[in-house]
Amino acid sequence: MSTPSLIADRSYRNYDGPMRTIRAGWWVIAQSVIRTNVRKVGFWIPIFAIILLHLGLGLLFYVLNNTNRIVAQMGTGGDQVKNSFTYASCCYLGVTESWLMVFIEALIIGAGSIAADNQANALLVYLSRPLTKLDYLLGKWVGVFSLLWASSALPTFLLYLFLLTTYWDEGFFKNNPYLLPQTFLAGLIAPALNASLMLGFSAWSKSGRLAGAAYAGFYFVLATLTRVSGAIMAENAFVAQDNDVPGAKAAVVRAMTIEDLSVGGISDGLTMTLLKVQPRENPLPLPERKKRRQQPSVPPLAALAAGMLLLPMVAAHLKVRAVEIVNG
Amino acid sequence: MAETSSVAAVSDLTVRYGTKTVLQNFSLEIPEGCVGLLGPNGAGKTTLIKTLLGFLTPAGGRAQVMGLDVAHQGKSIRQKIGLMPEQDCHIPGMNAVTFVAYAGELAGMPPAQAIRRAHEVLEWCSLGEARYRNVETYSTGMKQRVKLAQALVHGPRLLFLDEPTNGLDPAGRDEMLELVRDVSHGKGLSVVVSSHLLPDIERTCDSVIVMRRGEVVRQGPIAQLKQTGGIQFDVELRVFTDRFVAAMADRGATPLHQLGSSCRFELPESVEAPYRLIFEAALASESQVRGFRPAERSLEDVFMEAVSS
Repeated sequence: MSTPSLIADRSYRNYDGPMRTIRAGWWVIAQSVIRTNVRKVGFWIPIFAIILLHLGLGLLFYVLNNTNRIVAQMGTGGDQVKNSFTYASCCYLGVTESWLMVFIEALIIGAGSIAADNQANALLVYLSRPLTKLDYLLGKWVGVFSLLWASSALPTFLLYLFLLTTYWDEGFFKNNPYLLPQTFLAGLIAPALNASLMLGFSAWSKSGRLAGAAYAGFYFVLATLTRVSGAIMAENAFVAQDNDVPGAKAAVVRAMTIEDLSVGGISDGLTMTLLKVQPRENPLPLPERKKRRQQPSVPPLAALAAGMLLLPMVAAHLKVRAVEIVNG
Repeated sequence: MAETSSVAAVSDLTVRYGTKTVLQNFSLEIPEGCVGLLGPNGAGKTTLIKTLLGFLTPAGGRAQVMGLDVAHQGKSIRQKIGLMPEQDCHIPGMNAVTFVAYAGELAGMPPAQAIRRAHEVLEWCSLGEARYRNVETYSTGMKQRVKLAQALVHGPRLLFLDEPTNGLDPAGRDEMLELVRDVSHGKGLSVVVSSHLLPDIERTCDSVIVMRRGEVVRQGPIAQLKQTGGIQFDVELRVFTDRFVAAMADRGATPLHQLGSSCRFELPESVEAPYRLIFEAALASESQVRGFRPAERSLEDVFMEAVSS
């Protein structure tokens, strides 16, 4: 306050220093989202789990590869082991098997991202600054997406580096020149979908917990519905395929596509297609039906992914405003 | 439309909430300095502020703030103004320094300048000791102060204060009004204070705008609005006597009302020296005059007259 002081002039003085361009307001918000979340202990727990998963995958690949080499030297059919776990399938598992942790991370950093602002009337602070609703949402999205991407893609990149450096002599890069950009693209899918959907739910809620619960409900209900209906269709389609019924192959692809029409399924299906991985290239013990799994049709998955990216942000744009408008 | 001496101007402005029209063909110029925005609930004060900030899209008319068009230059306007909203608002999970510095960065300040300035305004708002505490743990008075700090951090040229003393105890209210008074005088900053509390406005503002049902019903400097019609004087006697009133009446003065030993008279327009007339009446009635001064109405009288006319 303007109390007189003997040692300092503490009266109010207006600021007339430099001001930056007002175009990059979204980046200030994104930085704040990142800064705030990296201080949370909860943020690091899923990352730790993802790193452990990738360490396990690297170790598994190393052991299987060495076992394969020893068995091959002994001449007892090691090629079969080698073909079941390729470099691409190792990266594929790195990207897709961390789905649960990416989802949990999205809940931790995204659920309260806009909901808490709604609760604390923070939008009055944001939107009374030179920012538009679009700047605000873009900033939030970039912040949440960057954290999700960093927490899932960086361990996969380290796994890639491990494979590259360990198996360079075995023609790793020569045989898989596009594996890095393919893995990079695949690593964007789950973080982008989770960021958009989580922010969409968060924008329509005044409590982070409520938003998180709603998104979790949506995530698992959709996954269950698509998995169950896809599995039933696949069961019938496989029987038809075994009996050489005409059109059975298309029915199988249709069933595989329906099975993947969920958040995790889209990520799984598109990653499988991007990395050109076959479901059988999986060293983990899987039921026979899973081993028979085929690649889904990409256009419906890509269309749904686009919808899941854009529609939540459109919904958030409709909801986010500095003042409540009561239609009279 | 906008003269050099006005910080904001609207003409033929129409604002609707759904089907309900709050402002209809509303025109107004807000002068520089500290201006009080008065009006009963539903008068349209907050709607006007929100429209000037670009929170609401008008159905018609034009609005300018500091010569910039609200419809097309919203970002530039919001970089030059500060808003202290009526309701609690803060960024969750931040302490006061981080919050105020972040508000500065959002307005376009470089991070280093924003943090330095945040410390400065928090100190000025008497939050120096508590600046590292989470804002969510603050008392109502402290939350009001941090709202003022975040509105001032980027050095706005125009400050909107919506009910700045809302929920404050008398001491907190006193301190907040002192801050508002300090910031709005001689600091190159114009302030618009929206409030229901007339004493707050009277203490901080130089002029007022009184609104009622989406219309401006009074506007002008407070001193001018408080002036009474004709020549009126309040005379305070040691002991009130009817003889003094009669002596004043003999000299053409009309008694208006009496309270205790004080009495208000309307003097004839032809009187050149009112004090002479009062002293003559006192001498004639053998009354002792303790004091007299030109009569003025209270702001409450002005307000009540405006909103009930």
